[in-house]
Amino acid sequence: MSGAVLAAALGSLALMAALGLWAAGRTRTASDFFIAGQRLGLWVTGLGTMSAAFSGFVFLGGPGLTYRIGVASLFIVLPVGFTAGLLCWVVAGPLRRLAGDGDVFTLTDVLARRYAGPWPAALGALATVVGTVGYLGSQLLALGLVLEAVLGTAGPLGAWSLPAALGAGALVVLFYSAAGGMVAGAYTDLAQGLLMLAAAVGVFVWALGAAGGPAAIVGAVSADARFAGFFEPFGRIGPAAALGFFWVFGLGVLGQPQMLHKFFMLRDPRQLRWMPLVLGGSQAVCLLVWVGLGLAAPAFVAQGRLAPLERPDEASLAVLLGFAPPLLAGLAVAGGLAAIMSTADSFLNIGSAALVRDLPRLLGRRLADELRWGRMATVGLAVAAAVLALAYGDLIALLGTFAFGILGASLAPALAVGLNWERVGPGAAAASIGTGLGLTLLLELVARRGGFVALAEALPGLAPIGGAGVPPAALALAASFTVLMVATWAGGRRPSAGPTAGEPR
Amino acid sequence: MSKRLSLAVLTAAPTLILVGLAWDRPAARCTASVLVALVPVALIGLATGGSRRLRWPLAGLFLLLAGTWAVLLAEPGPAAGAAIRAGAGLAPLVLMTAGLVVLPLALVTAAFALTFRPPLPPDDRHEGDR
Repeated sequence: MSGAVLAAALGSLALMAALGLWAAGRTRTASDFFIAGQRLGLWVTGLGTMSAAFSGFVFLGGPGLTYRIGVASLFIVLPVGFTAGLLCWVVAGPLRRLAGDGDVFTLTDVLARRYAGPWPAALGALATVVGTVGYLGSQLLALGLVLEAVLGTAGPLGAWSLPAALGAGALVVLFYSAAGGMVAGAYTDLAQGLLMLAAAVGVFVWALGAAGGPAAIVGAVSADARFAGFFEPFGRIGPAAALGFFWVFGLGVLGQPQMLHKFFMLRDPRQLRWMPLVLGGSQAVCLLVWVGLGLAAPAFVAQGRLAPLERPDEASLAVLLGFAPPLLAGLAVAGGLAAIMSTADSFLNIGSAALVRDLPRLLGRRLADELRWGRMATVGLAVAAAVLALAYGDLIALLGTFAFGILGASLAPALAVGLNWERVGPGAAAASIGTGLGLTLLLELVARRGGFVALAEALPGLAPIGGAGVPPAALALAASFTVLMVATWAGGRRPSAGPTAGEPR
Repeated sequence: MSKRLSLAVLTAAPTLILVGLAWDRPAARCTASVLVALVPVALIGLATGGSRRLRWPLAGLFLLLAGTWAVLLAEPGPAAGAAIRAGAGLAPLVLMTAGLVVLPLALVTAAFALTFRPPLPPDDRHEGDR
């Protein structure tokens, strides 16, 4: 292991811990802890949203999934062409305005303000906690893999290597997240976003060159039977699965608290004008790392320079640590750690807000010291996520898709439609959120137990569901939208229960 | 896209998308791909109250997304599929990234910035929002 790589990894962890300490001194109120005192500018919010959205999923999970299913994996990230605009047009304005009305810190607050009755907010808080544990789990899994490779713990620790590396990384994330809340999260997200962009561009240019250029990559991979269909858009998973990924990540983005939460923090709503440029542009640049490492890893294997990978999630680290110049590898590892930790700390704060603020209030109670309980809740969430990460036993990208899907299927319809159409009532919203949450969990469970294999034998034409097939959340998201619309039309015309985005009449 | 049309799309599309995802047949998946491109446009139409200034940008966005999906789904058909294969290797990747990322991002960014109006304060939210 190169000293430069180790220094970069440890240096980035130390830098984030230092930022946490600094931010702790600026965190005095619950508003500071949960929404950074609503004093962030365009660049901090835009790049922070990008780094909170892009995570170990992009730096490690993406290339790993590409190694397994080819360029079809990109259907997960191709929606970034329109999602930044979609977010700004559909939800950013209403969310920022509601936050400006006061005492709106979380998406549960938004649901409680928008819909009469406790059910939409309660189910929303529950979905947020479940999604948080899943997404945090995927980040901790990625963090464990990076630290395991960088610190070289696999040899000395054996089977305990990954749990130990995962635990060490979780402690650092916990430290600055629990200490500084969203003030720390926002500024570390900015620093991490800049690091991620630099790493993505550097790695992309180097990876394509190191693998011999585009023509050599295509020639080597296409000639290798192990990668048959790699460059065909649907060659390894089929069009239904690709469309399912595109649907979940294109529309599910409207229910992602780690991104939507950032809009509460914007100092001036007029800065939204350039948000699609900053957010969408930075996302597009950051995706270069997915493409670069995703192409380089199979090319190196096909060229005989790298042994076939037993775990596809090791693709990024195998290429970077085995072939990249030490300084670039160090930058990339630091960028990867930044990506993981920025998302992890966002989720820790969001999950703790749901547990400590939202659920007690919906039960008619209010904790005396929310700041202290918020810090304690982050510890509980991290432990639950670490257990899930170790028990899941599949690719980072698939665990991430599951978590992203739960949040999208549960929250996207009630927020995206409900904030813009005042006829949506609390019953329809609660039914939609419950459908998204329950159906995603049910279908995922059935898929992981192989239930759809038997069903496909009975029903010819059924698309493969689960794993790298159609994400269960894609079906749940469509069902959740349908339930919201049908229940709203069936519910008849009612007066608005709360503010919408300027209801067209 | 008008509010009524947006609501009609948002009512019908998800069910058809559900069918297209679960039932792996060409007709079902082609329909689903068109509707997956249409739903974000309908949501933007609903949120902006069917703004006339966004009519052409949103039509362009829909055509870009649906058109790219149509070309991709044509593979391995004799026309587009053969063209992609003849281009070899990176041609599908270039098509995917250009048609679904680069061009839509440029269109959306420009349209949003040019038509942007700051969110109204609470007391004015029902006035002049469209």
